[in-house]
Amino acid sequence: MDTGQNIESTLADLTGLGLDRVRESQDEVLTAGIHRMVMLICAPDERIGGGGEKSRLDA
Amino acid sequence: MTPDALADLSGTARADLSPPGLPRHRLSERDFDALAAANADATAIERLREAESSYRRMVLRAVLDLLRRDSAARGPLPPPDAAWDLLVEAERRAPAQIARLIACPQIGAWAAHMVRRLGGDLHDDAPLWVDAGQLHALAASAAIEAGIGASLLVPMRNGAVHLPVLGHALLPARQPWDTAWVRIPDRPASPAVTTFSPERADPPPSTKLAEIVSRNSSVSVRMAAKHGAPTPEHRGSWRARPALTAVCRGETLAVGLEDADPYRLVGRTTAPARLAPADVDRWTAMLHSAWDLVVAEHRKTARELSALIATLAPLPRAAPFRSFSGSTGDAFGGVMLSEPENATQFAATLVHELAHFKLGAVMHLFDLTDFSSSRLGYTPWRDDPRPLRGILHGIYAYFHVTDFWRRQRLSTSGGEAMLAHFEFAFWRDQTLQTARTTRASAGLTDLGRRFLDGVLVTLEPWCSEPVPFLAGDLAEIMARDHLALWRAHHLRPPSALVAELARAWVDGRTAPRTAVGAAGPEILAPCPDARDLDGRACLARLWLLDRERFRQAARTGPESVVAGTTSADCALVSGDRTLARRLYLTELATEPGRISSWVGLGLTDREHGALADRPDLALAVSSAVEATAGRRPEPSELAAWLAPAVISGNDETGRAPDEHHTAARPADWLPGSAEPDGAGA
Repeated sequence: MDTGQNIESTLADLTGLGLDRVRESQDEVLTAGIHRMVMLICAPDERIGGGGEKSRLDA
Repeated sequence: MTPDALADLSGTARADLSPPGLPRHRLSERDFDALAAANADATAIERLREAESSYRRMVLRAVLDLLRRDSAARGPLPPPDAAWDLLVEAERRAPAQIARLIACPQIGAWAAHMVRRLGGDLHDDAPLWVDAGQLHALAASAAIEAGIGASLLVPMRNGAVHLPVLGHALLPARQPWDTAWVRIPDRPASPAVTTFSPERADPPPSTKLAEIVSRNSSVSVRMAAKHGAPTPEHRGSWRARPALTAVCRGETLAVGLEDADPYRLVGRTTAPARLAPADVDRWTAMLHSAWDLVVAEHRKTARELSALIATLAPLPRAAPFRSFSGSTGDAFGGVMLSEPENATQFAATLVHELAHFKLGAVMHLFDLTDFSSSRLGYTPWRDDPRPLRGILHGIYAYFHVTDFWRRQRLSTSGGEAMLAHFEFAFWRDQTLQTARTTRASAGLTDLGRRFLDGVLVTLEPWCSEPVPFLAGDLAEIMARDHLALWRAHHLRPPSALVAELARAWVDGRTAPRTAVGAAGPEILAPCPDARDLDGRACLARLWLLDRERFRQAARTGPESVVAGTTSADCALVSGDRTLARRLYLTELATEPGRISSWVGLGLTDREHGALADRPDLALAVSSAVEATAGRRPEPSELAAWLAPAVISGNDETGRAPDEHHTAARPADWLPGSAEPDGAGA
């Protein structure tokens, strides 16, 4: 049911942040976002799976 | 990457200059539900693109932090902060171009590759500094885009220097891993300087943007040219990345044809594979045709594609009806795909991958599944057992594919229309079944269930839409075929049940139905060799699309068109079930363990239906009887004997033979109740 609310992500919003600020920031929201991002990257890529020819269908 | 290493990330930053409390990304419930139902507006799509922009900046920051801590990663190259300094300056001077550069899918693929490699989760044959040095190549591209004068040392792989988005140079290589200088003169930044646009009547003259120098050879970096033709020079050549632009009724699709970036393919680094100008022309023409089709029949999808897709990584043409495509969450907006057979197939592939982009972005934002879930399950679109997140991706992708064919079947005629009806019926029913089963299974979060609710709200009404009998009937048989083959390859029936049935057969008793009912679930034992389980479905597609080509294949041997298929399969898909039955029995007489023949025989009529409903059990019992009595049961006799025990709801239902298959779909109990069997995996 749509309650008119927003669903908040752990991902920091860096759309207004230049690369200099991205490099310097130790903001805890950014740190939490990086942790989530690294966890996602280091989890098995379950979209492809198997590797090689088994990835012919990627769903 | 270890938890400690993870905790240390971002702890090496310099003094914090940013205001406290960065905002987080948000999505309204309305947009979330609309995305799930494939009914999102442009604003919601833009939210996803923005989230991916943040995700990309985060992964670059993570790579920088990891490189700062690992001096071995530097090799002969300057420190990573030198490259970042240049990126910062370039962004100040040309923010739009640098945003576009960073958004390049292959930058994301490279960064994720680095996180895995520096975290010890991945091995690559290239020295670490060669991989890490791509940050300097990115900075070189940024400096060229922004017109900043600079000289940078960048890595060279087997003579190839790749500058992201711009192109690559090939130079004589004395050793596999080397360095080259990129010398960039000062000049004003221009949005059009590195991208060739076919809309311009006269391509601008080739302007020298930079020079790449290695030992005693050099090449000039020039702006993109038509066809992506390389510019040969003394002892080397530069080749700008081909840029394809299709315009139809005011809708534009602009993509880079990425045939050289070392990070363009999923899961491995790859040498350049330059397309010839004629190949680029062929891809261009096909993209124009596909875009015309998408804009004409699927306007909303066209706008989403225009917003999200950035590159195509071309691969050689695949076998008929077995086209290849792939994408990952690392490389948002990037698709790798085999050369399309036709515009319709190209369009369907783009629609498929678009769904992956959208769901990938949603899953970067929110957890739709429980990460601790290790269960595997059946999906009708893959030959291997799939984890829950993969199943969710498949549901969403084939939900979009179903929508594509639902519309497409109304705009074509003849064989193409019959094929479209088949695809619609096949994917509609299979996606619905899988979505319902997954919705009821363990492992989804509340948001995950909400997302599937959105899919089902749109998908369920489509199931009452009529489909021509021929296409619908074949779709049902082919769905049953794939499920049966998957069962036979990946499931093991309980050994006690197999032994009891084999004893009953040898003793001349009826198959004990109660034993089948009381037996525990099958054991999931993934078979790594299971592949191309869609052979008969490919033949069915050919039969619906092009009857003459099908007949020719049947005459000369279908194996040459669809690998792994036989004349019996041709007879089955074309409706001659008597001939198919005879041919399958002949196949089994010479090759008693051929799984495809067992299942094919089971699809020919109700009397043999047990072989398609429980091929795992039939094969196991056949082998057990042979081990005990010295000879296998005759397949038809075994099918008739097994039927009362494994098939319920018989004659009194009045249903057609193909409606009698009542064996549980693996998705009915997977991923809800089965764990992979380690011994068999």
